Amino acid sequence: MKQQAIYGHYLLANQSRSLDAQARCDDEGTIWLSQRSSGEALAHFSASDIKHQPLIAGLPAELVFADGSRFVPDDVNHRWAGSSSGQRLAEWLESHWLGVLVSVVAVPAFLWFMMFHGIPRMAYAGVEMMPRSVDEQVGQQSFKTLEYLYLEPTKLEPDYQQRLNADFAELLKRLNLPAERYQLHFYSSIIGANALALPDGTIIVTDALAKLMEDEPQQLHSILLHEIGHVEHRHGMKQLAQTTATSFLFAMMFGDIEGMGELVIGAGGSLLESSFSRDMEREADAYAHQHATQAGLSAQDFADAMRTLGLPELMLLGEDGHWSDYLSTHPGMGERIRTAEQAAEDENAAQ
Amino acid sequence: MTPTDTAALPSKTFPVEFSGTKAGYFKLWFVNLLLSILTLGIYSAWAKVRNNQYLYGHTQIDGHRLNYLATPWQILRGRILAILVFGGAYLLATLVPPIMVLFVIGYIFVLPWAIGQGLRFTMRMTSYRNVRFSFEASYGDLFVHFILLPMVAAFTLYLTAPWIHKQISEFLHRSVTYGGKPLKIKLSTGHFYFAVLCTLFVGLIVGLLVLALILLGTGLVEMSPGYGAAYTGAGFILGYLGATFCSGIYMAMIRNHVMNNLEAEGLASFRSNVEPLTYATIAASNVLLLMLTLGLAFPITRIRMLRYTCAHTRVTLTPAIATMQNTVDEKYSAFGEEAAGLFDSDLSLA
Repeated sequence: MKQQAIYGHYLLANQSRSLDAQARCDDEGTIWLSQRSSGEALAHFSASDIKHQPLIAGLPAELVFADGSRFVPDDVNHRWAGSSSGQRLAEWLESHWLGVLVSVVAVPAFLWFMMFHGIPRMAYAGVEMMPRSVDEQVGQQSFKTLEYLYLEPTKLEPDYQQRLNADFAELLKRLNLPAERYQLHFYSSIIGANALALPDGTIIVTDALAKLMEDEPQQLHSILLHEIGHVEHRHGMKQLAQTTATSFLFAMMFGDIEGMGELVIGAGGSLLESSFSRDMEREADAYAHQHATQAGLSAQDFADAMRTLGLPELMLLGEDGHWSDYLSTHPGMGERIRTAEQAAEDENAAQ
Repeated sequence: MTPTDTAALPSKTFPVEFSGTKAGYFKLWFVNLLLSILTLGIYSAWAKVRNNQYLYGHTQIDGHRLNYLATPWQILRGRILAILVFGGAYLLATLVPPIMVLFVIGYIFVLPWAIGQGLRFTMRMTSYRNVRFSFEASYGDLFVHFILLPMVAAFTLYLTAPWIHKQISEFLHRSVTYGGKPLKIKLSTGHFYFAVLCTLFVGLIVGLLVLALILLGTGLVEMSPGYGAAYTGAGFILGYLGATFCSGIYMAMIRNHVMNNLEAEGLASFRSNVEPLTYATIAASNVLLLMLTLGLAFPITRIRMLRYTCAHTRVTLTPAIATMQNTVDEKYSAFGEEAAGLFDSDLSLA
């Protein structure tokens, strides 16, 4: 028995000719096409020769037949019995506010989870599996770039350099770390009083920092300890892995959803990067505090070093709850000093 | 019927009817966004197809809808292939840095090919009345129009830019074919320069307005210290909106000129009477909407613009439109399009 006639256009295979037609579906799923005006039979196709086109809200459910011809119903709401449940589900989700409502909750929740838990964990686990030799390759590459962009030969006295190198060797010995993993370098740089650690164990101290702490060697040592913490935790590699994973994932997720791409990748990426970097600074600080005693220092030295560094920008000291913290790559000075002093108190209590 | 039979019949002019709605498209876009994110991007191939099918299918001329024919699997395959190729190249460049030089040179030569493949794919996946479009251009032409001419623009301090834009515009449209027949277009260089002058004039007025507002803002900052950053931000946003408005003027004028001089010989001709000021206002308010909603208003902005442009477009069809033969074969790789996407040079006609 044939069902009710569905009116529409029948577009012939590979031609732009269109005929006013009607389609009837029988119990086996065969579609019978005929001219609308004369009723003259045009063609019929069995269920296996019919390709149901995707269902989209407000659009007719088109059929493409094995020979390439196409039937377009006039009624945009008509849906064929033979369309798959997957297609119906997609259309249902896309045309109900429930789907949107679920998305409004699920999208931010999922993004938050991936950004702050999923990706960092994957990056950490991935780096732990990588051999240290990769760190060296990467470190040397970024050292070359840094050197080219920001670093100029040091102007420190050779004596002072020698003294610092000896101190550094002593520090490594006390911490039972392999001396060949680390190299200490001095450079004059536009980045001011600062120290950097590269994945391969290269630690760079700027002239400005070395001079600032010339009379307070323990402070400089506590900063070196912090940088060693970065290398021991393999932060450089973790950051690289995390950034790569994030941008890959974001490009995959938002890549071709026009309008979202640049916005989310740009804003989300840099926010995430600074949050990740803040966490790593905290981890390196903690390393410095934990190993202070072993290195012959006190966590108080780190607190003092932070104060010495913060002196030119005293303003920063007080306000650590400022909104711009979210954009910052380092935790607030105040927070770092408090944590270090807390660690120093714990040291005293332990003695 | 053969073309000679129909030549005597009169042509008819039709509006471009767009039936997409803001709520309808918003729902579709948002649900697809969710599914793409939850599947870590794999569903985005389906999302792309469904988004296009919605927008194409809701566009009707003379009772026939445009069809987007690409399948999600095609897109996914192309995407995976493109990621493998570019990922491999990136990895190689990281491990052997000197090879980067080769890649940069290679990029210049591969880019025109990728753009051509991308356009070809998009056009071939578009059909009207069961007949597909295509984009047919030689590598040499693509190289001239996407590498050499932009370089000429840079070397001539962009004074030749309007002429070059005209050349590229002509090239893009005359390379489009429908049922194997290329489109015809003849544009005037003078019109492109005229559009630039109009845009500069509007830009001058908008620039003065923005400047006045910023000065006013500076006055306010002095009275209420502590909000300096907010005012600076507002200044940048105003500047950006102003720039969008000006580019809208140019785009509207060029759109009218291109459409009014475009024809598929013996088949179709087009009329566009977009009002530059209205078009620019929609473009600028769309940008503002996107900013206020962090991009979530994207589907709404898309529908607003499409509604307006479709409502101001007419197509005149001859009876020969019913006698076309499809010449494009179905199997075609999406690699080129995805490669073009990764190169960040996705272009689209329309």
